[in-house]
Amino acid sequence: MEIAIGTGLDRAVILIYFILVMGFGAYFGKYSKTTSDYFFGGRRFSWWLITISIVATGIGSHSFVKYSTKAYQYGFSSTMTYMNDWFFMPLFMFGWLPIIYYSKVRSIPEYFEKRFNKTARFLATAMTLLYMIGYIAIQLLTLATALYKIYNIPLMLTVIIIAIATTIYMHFGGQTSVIFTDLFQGLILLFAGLLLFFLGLQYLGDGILSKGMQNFWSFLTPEQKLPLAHFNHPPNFNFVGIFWQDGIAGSIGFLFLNQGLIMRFMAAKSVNEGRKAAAFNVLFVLPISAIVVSNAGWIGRAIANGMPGVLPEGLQPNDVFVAVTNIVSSPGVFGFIIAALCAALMSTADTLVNASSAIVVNDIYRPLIKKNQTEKKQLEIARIASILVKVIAILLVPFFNSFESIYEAHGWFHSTFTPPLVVAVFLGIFWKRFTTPAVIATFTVGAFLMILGQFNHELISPFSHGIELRPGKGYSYIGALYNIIVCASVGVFVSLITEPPKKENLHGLTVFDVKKLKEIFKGSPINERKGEKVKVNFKLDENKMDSIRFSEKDMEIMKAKPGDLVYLCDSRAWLGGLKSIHSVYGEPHQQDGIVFISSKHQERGLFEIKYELHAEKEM
Amino acid sequence: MLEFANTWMPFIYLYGVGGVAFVIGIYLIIKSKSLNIDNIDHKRWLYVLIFGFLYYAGIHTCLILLALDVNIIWLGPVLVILGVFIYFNWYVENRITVLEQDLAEVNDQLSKLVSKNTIED
Repeated sequence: MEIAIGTGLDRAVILIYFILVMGFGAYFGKYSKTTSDYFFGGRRFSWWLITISIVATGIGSHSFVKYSTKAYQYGFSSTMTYMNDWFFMPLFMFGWLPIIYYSKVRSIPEYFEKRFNKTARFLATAMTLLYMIGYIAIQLLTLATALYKIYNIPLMLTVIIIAIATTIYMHFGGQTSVIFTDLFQGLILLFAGLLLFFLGLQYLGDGILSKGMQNFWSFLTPEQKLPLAHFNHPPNFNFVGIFWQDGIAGSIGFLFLNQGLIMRFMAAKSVNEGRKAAAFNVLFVLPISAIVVSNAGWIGRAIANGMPGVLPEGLQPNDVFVAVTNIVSSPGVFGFIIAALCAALMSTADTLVNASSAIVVNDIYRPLIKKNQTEKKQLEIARIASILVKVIAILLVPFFNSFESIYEAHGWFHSTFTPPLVVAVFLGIFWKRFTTPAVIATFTVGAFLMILGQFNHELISPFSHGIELRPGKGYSYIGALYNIIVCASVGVFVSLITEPPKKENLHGLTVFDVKKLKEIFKGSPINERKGEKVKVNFKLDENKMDSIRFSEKDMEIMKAKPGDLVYLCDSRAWLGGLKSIHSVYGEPHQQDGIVFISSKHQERGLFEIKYELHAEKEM
Repeated sequence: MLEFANTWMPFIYLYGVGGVAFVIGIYLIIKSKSLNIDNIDHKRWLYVLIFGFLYYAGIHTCLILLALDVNIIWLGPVLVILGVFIYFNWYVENRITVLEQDLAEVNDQLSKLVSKNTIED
């Protein structure tokens, strides 16, 4: 089917959007001074900022196309994958998050070296990088597929233009730019998706919203209103397969292994803020995101069921997003919604590129090439790495373009690279007996058995839950269950026949040590007394120490002692912690309401004399 | 006519298998003291975690009932009563924990004062 490709106004809106985002990202580049700022945003942001920027990361450009397609074909069950992430939240919030935050690892492979050895780190680095670069390639391909129709520029050239645009603000800004552009883009995404739903309902009700809602509900069949798909039918969209691929492997992969997401949480000002961001995101933002990415398909289905002839008969499900957007919105609005698709791509790609460059610097450059390099040099390497990552991703685009659909490419990719990493990280954190030879066997022997399963479908059939085998295509989603089981079996078996790891080598690296991690992080006993926040003005003190000094009374209000950790931030809450620092309490003085800080602190926190600061004891 | 495999079977599987993962997770974090139920903030998080599980199960239940054309208006008052009960329970427990912490702090200060006076004497 030929789909209208927008007007001149639409093209202008998309172009303006790109320029706006690049400018926005480049502006926030001034807040990146060290590699810690570049990769982790200086560990200073509030939960709400992290939450919104996670939205933009979680919703990729493929999400709109992929979920609209499934929503058009199967109705509300397209939301399944957005609403099955809560099961692993206890382990994430109180297991993995404190481990990565307090153990100060800079990347997931670094955790593998600490927990196992260098070989494990090397294998994890290779797999994680492959996973992320491939993911970036898929993102570039999806958006280019949509945009090249609108601008009539060849597909590969569109890919290159998009890659350059995202590189510009990433190159200068790093994680701080990513977080702030993602805040902006996350809001745009949510707004555009909900706007499309609103316009669709209005269209269904001839301009009357209540009538549109009524029609929307009555036009859908009972089957299309169900939130979960049929248990094991059809083979290309069934509940049990998607549960194992997405609800289990995908959720663990996303929460525990997505370096981009992990870096977001590490940019939070504290573990508790990270927990708040995670909980709010999964409880409230994900259900809204499910509506945002699926509603074009639902509206399309309602139109197809209740208003025959509006959508062309031969409409391909993959085209439903653009077709519905085009029908329900006017010129300019169409451009705006396509710009939201750009937002989805740019925000996901920038996070992954930043994460990949973090891995290149932390897991390849630092340990293997140069151990002691200046911050400036490392930043330079990070920036070069982010360009290299994009170049490799562009080179991979033709490979992914050769798959039947983006959905298939994504599914293949996900099920191939996630299970060994998921099993390795999960057993590493939650099972002290898991050994180094076992993790290496999980990566190698596990991967071999997975490949074997790809070619011998009878190996997967005992796990198929009655899902029909597609001739020539094999099992799709349920393959994840087989992959997880073979990797886990190899890991457990090898662990049991090899010598257990020494207790001292596991210090602070498993969930059983989380309570000690805070002490390890602080370097002295924890002060658990619950204090209150204080408002202070700052004065410069040319003390060479890294500590900051409060009055005795203020310290008593905060229940703090010299040597405790303190968080000091600009009192304007809407900045979300952008202007803030972490430091240590020094010896108290007698001037209430005053904090003495050094010019270095002021520079790092970007504090202005006219604004009050908030101080709170961390631990 | 919708089959069982279309409606409640996926639901039971989701919250059965997912529920096992969730309960194991809660058990592990409590056992490892990563979630310390004596700490007031952690206890609040435990409530949030359990709420999240019930919240999603509730959303899926409501949507399945709606798809089956079952009137779910009666669920409203049930949820309100349940919410009030949980909130009240949480509030009382919180209050008790705060009072216990205050008491411990006062005791601590008292013993410091007593030892200071003893030294001065």
